[in-house]
Amino acid sequence: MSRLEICNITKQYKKKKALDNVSCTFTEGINTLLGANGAGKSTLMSIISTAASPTLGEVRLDGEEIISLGEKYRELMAMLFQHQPYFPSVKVNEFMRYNAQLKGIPPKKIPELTEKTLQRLGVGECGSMKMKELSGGMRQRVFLAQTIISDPKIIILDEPSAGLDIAERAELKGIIKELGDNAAVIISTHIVSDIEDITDRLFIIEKGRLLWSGGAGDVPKGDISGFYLKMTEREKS
Amino acid sequence: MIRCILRSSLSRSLSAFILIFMITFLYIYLGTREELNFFDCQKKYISDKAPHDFFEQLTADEATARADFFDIHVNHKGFDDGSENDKTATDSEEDIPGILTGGNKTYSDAAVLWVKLKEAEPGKFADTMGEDYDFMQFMLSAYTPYGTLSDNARELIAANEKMLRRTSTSDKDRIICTYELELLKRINSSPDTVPPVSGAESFLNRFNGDFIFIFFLVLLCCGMFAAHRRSGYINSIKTMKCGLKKFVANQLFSHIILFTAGYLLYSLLYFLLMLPYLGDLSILGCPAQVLPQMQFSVYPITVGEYMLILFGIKYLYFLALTCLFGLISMLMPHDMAALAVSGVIGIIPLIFAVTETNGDFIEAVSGNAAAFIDRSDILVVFESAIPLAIVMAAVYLAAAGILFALTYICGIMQFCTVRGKAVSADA
Repeated sequence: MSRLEICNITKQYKKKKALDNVSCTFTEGINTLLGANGAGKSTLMSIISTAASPTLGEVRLDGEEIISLGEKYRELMAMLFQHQPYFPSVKVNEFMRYNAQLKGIPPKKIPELTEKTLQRLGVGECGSMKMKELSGGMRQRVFLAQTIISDPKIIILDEPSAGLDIAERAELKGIIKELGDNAAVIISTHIVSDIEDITDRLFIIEKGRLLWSGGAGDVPKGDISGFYLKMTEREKS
Repeated sequence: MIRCILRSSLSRSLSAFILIFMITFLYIYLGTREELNFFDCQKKYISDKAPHDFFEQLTADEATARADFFDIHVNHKGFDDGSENDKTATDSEEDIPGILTGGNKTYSDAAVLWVKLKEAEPGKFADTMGEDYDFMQFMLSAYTPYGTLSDNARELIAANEKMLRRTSTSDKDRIICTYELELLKRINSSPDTVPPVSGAESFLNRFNGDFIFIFFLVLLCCGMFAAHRRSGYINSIKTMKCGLKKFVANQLFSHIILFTAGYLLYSLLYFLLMLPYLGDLSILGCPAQVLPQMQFSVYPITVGEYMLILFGIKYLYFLALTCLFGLISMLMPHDMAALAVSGVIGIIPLIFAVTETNGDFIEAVSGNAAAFIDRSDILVVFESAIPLAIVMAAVYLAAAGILFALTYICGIMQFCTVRGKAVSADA
């Protein structure tokens, strides 16, 4: 079981402190970073994904600092960006193959893995379609498929439901829930309904500080939405 | 006699040259214009920008294409909560593809893989964004050599040192980097600078096969032994006042003089036509793609010297072709037949160039030595091209010698038969 520890992370930009001494631990299951826009969720995600380095503090995977793990860490981790880059005129299968090869998956295994992963996410029949021909929900599933094709142990999803309609959001929730069965899924969102019912742990961030963290069961009456509002209002006052 | 032959051949060679010049001009004008229109992006770089500004512009445009390709700018806005300007030096954009892909890939790795997949499976992996990025990558790699040698060396040193610092660099790559660094340390800063001349490159590429000049040679040489043919071998041998050998040698020599004059004029035109694109005389029209290789050269050679060697090698190559076409003229029954055969032989290099036959050796032996030399680096010029050009010239001359001997023997046999018949008739 992978255990990702965030130890006293501070991220200082020239004028602004984006994260202020944040500490928390992500384990297998669904971990949700909940916070308003500009709260520091994306900065934390970027540090976890090694795109940015913290001003202070460190991130550890099973006790080892992630920067020292280098490529090994990258192999265990996969990230779905809020605005995932893609090639509009490329077919889904080609997109998957390109990404799989970049991830270092042996070419012989790629067709089978691609088919299996696309099937798992319910877009098995889209292989020969161009990326631009897919609906928003289907494209997001394809993005998720390329994210998990290498069977990562840490999956980072930055606003995965952005741009999806209600039905697509509901379907995506089910898929994310499944991913949490054998990986530590870290979701960043500001929409509570996206993670209600599926999250195992909750981390509320506001103005760069971690306001609250705990299991979904620890939320009073299981009302995440009400609890989140209460916490943020208390912080504002 | 040479003067006489020269006088008789001059009008033909002049008309051939004028014809060739017209074709060349139209070819270059239309061809280059078409090419430049096709590459709108490239057109933008044909300007009188200083090298430094040119690089800045090109690098910025490449970065934009790269950002479009990976959609990086959008992601970074998300990452940094809009605080793009506050990014610290430790936030490495170079790592983004690695994060995207879960590996340790750089932009270059990702782009190389993309191109490989595209090449391996034509028709697939076709995307405008990818193509734009490919093109800008190509532009950047093609034009980097236009900096000063010392600038290029500095960039290469930095790139190699970066590779060595990366923990993920393989042992094999480390050995290569260390070796390259050793070589790079030998480079002294050179005053040679090359201006930003994208037009010149397409211009140079047009000349790669030099088939236009070969066409001129064909026209010049197809009638080299016209007089010889008209009088027939027997008469040539019968009238041995000047001697067949002397006649042949003089014909060859006079045509070599004409060809040399044509070559000098051709080189001058080549250079003058290129001037508007170059805007600077310092490089003497050197194919700039050789500059990176020149940095690694252990030979203390300047760009100008390199150009002289290149023109010298091409001269040898054309000299060998002149001999070959002269031989064809000698063997063929009519000028038109000589023109056709020489034309077919002359066009072979073009066919090879067009079909992009791989393998330098095949190109060299097929006669496309000029293209072979143009694309080669300085080490190849010294280690392969010169010996190859010499071998080729020797082979052509030997073949010419053998065929000439055979022809001579046939002529004597024919002469003996005729004399025998005459003697019998007298008897």
